[in-house]
Amino acid sequence: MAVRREKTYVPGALFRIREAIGLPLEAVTGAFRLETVGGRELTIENCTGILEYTEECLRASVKGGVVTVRGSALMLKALSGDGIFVTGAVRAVEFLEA
Amino acid sequence: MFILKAVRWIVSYITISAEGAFAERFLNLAGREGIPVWNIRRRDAAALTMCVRADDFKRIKSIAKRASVRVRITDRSGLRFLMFRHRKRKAFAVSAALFFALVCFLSTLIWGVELEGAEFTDRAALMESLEDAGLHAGAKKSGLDITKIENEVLNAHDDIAWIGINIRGTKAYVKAEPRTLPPDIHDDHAAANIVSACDAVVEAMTVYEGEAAVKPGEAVTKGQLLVGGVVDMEEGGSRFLHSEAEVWGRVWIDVHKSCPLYEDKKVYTGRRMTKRAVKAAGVKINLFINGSIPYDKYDKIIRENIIRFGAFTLPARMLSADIREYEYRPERLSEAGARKKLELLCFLELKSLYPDAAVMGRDIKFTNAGDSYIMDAEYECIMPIAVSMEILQEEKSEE
Repeated sequence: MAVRREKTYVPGALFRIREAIGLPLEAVTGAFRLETVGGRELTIENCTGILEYTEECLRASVKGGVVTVRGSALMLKALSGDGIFVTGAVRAVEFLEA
Repeated sequence: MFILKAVRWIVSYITISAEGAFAERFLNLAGREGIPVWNIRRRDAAALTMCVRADDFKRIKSIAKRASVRVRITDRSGLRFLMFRHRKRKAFAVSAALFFALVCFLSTLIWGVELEGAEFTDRAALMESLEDAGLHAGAKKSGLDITKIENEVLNAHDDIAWIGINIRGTKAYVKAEPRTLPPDIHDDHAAANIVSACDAVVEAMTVYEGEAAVKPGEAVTKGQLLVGGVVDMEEGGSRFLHSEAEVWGRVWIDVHKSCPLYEDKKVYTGRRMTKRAVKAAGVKINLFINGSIPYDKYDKIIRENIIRFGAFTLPARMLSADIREYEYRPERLSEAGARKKLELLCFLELKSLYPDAAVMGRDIKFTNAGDSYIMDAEYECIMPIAVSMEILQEEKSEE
């Protein structure tokens, strides 16, 4: 009978080097960075694409998962190759690991 | 944000509607292609509206094809579209271009000069010096050598220690700091006598230091010792002092003046004219056609007024020249008139020679010499007569 083991998080070599020299994680690994101002503005950096966009829900793919933003009157104020800037009333932010 | 909007308006942009099942894919492709997209809104279940630069529209169309999305332009905004809409209105375009050129030109000029903290000096003279150095309303900003202007003004005003000229926008702000002059160093220790400056009768004297050599009521000649700086000691020898005293003397001063019997008098004929001009950026524009002046002798009084628009000062000045014709007419001077004139001239001469003299009395001789009037005036004055004279080393050794 096979025994199922829980997957434990082990920091990789890149993570350890970054930590040693003090560089931001998103700059080295391409990890996403999410920032919100008062629930009225939201910025996602290192976003790889938009999966769904309505005025109530925005799903954006990022490295290692999907970020879901829920709210009302959401508007994509600006869109560039590696980031999005959203305005509106943000009610919930969710990250689902792939 | 305003600057970003202004830049977008100048660059010009279009609002498009993207309809199709894969509108999100369309956005992702635009992002990957590096096409800036902004103000993205969900219009309905199958359509998005967004803004893109007008130049990027061709690339947007190819992306739309790949994403199976139909793109339609819903609005056009920006300078390029405004110019296109008004392309047939040539006068409007010319006026807009002229207005733009005028604004650009006016922004290169100094519109006004403001003095800050220059209350200690003659502000009108300072403004005049600045103008002479080239800093005035209407001067070109690019042609100003600030360091040179500052040096020229500093050379012209001894009471200014430091001057700073800052140009902010179209206005020049001039800040000046006063110079603290060193006090006159008076050597109180050098041995000195006090002698008389002129022939006089001593009226009063107050000796602070030294030994009085004369008494009030005594007549003295020019250079005579009044207060001595050498005092004999009881135990032998002498002590040298720096004499200090106030000595007032009664002095008689002769003044002679004359004036001709007939005198050319300047008389305005009543004929006059005014010529106006506008001066801006060193250029003078005459507001008259005929520039000749039909008078032989004339006075020209030029008034320079800053042109204001409410509280706003424009970088231009209105020059108005008032031209008045005059002529010389020989006029016989009356005896009373000549006497009055010569009395005034004599008194002014006295005051210019001895400003501290107080006139106590006068003896005037007025004669008519045929072709001229002559006045010989003798003024009796009371004035300070003390003059300090250092005792030289040789004199000391003789003592």
